[in-house]
Amino acid sequence: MSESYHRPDETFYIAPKDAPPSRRPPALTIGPAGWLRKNLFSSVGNTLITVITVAVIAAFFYELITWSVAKAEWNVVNNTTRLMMVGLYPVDQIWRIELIAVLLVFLSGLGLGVWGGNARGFFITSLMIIIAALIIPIGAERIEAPPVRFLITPTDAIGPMLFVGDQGDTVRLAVEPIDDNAIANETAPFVGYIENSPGSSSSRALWNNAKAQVVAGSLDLTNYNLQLTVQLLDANGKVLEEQLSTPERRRVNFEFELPDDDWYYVQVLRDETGEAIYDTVDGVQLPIAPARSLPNTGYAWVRIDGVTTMSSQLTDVEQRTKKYGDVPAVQCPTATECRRLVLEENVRFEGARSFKAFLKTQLDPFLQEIIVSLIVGFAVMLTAYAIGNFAKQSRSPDSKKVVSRFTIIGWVVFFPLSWILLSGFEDPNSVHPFLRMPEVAQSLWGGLILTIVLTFVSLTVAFPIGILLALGRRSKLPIISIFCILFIEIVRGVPLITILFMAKFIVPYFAKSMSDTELLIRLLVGLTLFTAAYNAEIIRGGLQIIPKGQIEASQALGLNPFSTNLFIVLPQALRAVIPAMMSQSVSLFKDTTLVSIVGLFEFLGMIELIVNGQQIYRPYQREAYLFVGVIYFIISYIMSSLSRRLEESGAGTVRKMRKA
Amino acid sequence: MSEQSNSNGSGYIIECEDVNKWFGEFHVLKDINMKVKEREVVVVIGPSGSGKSTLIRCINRLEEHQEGKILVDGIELSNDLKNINAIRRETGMVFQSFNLFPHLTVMQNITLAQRYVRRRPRRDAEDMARQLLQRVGIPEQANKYPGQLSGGQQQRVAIARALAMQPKIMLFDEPTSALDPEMIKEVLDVMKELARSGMTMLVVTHEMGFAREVADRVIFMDSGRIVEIGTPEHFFENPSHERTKLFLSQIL
Repeated sequence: MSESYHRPDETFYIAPKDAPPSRRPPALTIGPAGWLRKNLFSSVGNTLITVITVAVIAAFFYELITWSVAKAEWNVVNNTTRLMMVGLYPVDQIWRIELIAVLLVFLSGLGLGVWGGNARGFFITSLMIIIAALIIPIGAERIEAPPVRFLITPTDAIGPMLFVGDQGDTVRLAVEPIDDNAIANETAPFVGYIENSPGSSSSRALWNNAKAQVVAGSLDLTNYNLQLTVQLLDANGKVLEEQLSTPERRRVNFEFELPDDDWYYVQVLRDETGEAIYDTVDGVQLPIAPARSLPNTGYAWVRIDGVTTMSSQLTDVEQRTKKYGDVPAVQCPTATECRRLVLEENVRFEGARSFKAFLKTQLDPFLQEIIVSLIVGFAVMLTAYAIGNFAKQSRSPDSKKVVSRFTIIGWVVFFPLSWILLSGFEDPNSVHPFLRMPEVAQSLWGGLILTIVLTFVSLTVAFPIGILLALGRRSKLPIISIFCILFIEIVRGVPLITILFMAKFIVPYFAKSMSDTELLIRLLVGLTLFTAAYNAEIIRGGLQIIPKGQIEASQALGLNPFSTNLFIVLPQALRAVIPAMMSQSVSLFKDTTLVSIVGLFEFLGMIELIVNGQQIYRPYQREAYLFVGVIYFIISYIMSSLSRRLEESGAGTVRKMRKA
Repeated sequence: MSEQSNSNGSGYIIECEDVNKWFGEFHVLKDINMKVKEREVVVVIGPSGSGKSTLIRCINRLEEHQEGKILVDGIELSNDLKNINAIRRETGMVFQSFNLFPHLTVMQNITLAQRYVRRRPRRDAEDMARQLLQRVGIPEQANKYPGQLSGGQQQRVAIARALAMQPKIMLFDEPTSALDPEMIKEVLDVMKELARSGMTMLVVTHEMGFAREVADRVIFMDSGRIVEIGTPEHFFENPSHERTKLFLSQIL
């Protein structure tokens, strides 16, 4: 009887007394497999999009990473880190920036501990530590010099090639004969520098020419008959070591330890006579190179290891002259062979590096530079986390309250304190000896630290101004609202760069008293007003979504307008606009790059100064700008992650409010 | 000082004399004359758009009337902010859409105004809040957010929040209209209990059962004017005005 009630086509139906037990959903609809099916491969089109997108992304990152590892020359980042990060901030005062970084990391760790950190919180803090560690490089160490290669041809040898070396440096010279036509077809046979001095007779140009001839069939590299003398000489022309490379014993490889801090040079002489060469050993003349009938044919690389390339920067030249003396006047065998100094701008890094070589030559020096900061940073963070977590776990609720209050006060104090630490005191004697910090002129601030100062000062000051403007715009008093509307619309209607130019040129012209104000302060005011105007509009959007009933309820309870705004309207409005505010903040962070146009060298400006101003780094713009991009991305990511955390945590979040 | 004393001798706690109000050109309240005695429960009913909500919103100055006189507890409503605040302290209001503060917990919702308007110490405010939550039957929800409660619970919190200010008058603006049928009863029960305890109540509602059971008087409004005032017995059994008869015939 009851069974007939279960038939779905029954017009009348009464369910059994007990509801059927809940079953698990079908296996393919839940878990990771279900997620994949639903989100990535739900239809043919979706599958196509997934595959294409993944392929494009993978190809992009493959190219980027292989280039970064195998080809890029990170010298520019490694050797100029301090400049990029702190600008011209005096080296002996960098401890102040270090202190700020430590405080920042400590407060973050404390917050994580007290308010409970998830994995992402730790990840974000770690990123912050890395940025902090970058900002305070302990000591830059130069990357070990890659080998330098010069090409020997039947008509070109290496004239005196000057370099400077210190006592104890080991220089290795090697002749690598090219007696195989296959080499000419290899695309990336080298790792290191190849001479690339301007003109048609640079090694790079000669090699390209030779390759073309091999391909055309007019040159046979197996026809090798070069006889060379490879010499290492000191500044006075005294031969320190020499070896012969003959068609029979082509490879030459020797090391020499330099005896002094001095100029040295390498010279390769071609023996064009074709006569036999003898060496006298124990009174017996031994032929070490038989007489040759063929003329000089063939190509060879001369490879020099352990020679640091020299820069032609004026300051570097001065320092070099001071330490090693003037460039020695050495005789050139012929005029064309006397063109070579081992100059940085005359060599170019080429070839594919192995991953191991990347670690050793590129990453390792960089890590060495920041490793101490990294360790200190993580140690401080973990300590703070432990303190915070201990307070959270402890039995008495007071200790949590104390630590969390301390953390909040810490953050409030942190920003002004950082400013004081950065600028120091005009008259250091006026304060306690312990706090004696000489003033560091704001014109010396630069690099990433300046970017961060610009961003956070204008953000924190613009926030309350933005609130006031937003409230003012909604004010019932027309004078206030008209003023606010005018201000907001004028500022929003003008490009930021115009405001910055105004801060730099026009404000001092109108207000003479402002002309003495530091440029940084004037630009900060400009950035702040700009941000405040945008924030005001964002906050106004938030105020508009607060239902009228909220205000009525508050009024009905007798709260005055000030309390209504403070306790009811603003908390809800501001929370609603966190994403928009944060995107405004991130875009401000990126917009600070504009100040480089009006004369402050923040991060990007500093990089531009380095790669455009210093000849030696000109070939490495790609590396420098990639580094800039990565750093900007990391910081923007930190900012937006913090905003997401802010959205999700705390009292009365959207999530909790909607959970009905 | 006479303003401070109860009902200035007349025995009425709310007095409306020739109150007129316009929304722009629209004449929404027309010559309203009405009085509410202390400890009296008055229910205002009428079709939508008849101005009944506007009337009670005028009583605590959520809406401003343009003509006439409204006296609450002997204090006249004028543009004087001091008077407005004094009246708002004496009147609690419960809204159709609860209007709880979603970013505050139930406890904070109830204590906020106590602390910043009544200047009550936090501990006292919380004790009061706990008592009131007990009274409206949800003592266990103190630390939840409004979004985590059902509609009925939210409305009961709203009643507790209004009561926390210890008002002399409670205004209810369609307190059950936004509730699921299953939850109306729990709110009405709280209101009945409140009425029994002697609170002066002015209630706009469509709950005829409530009006019949609890009200001392019923006011019927239509098109911005008061059509009929009477006891519930008179009003429901034997209405005088044609409009009232028509209205009752449509809803009963």
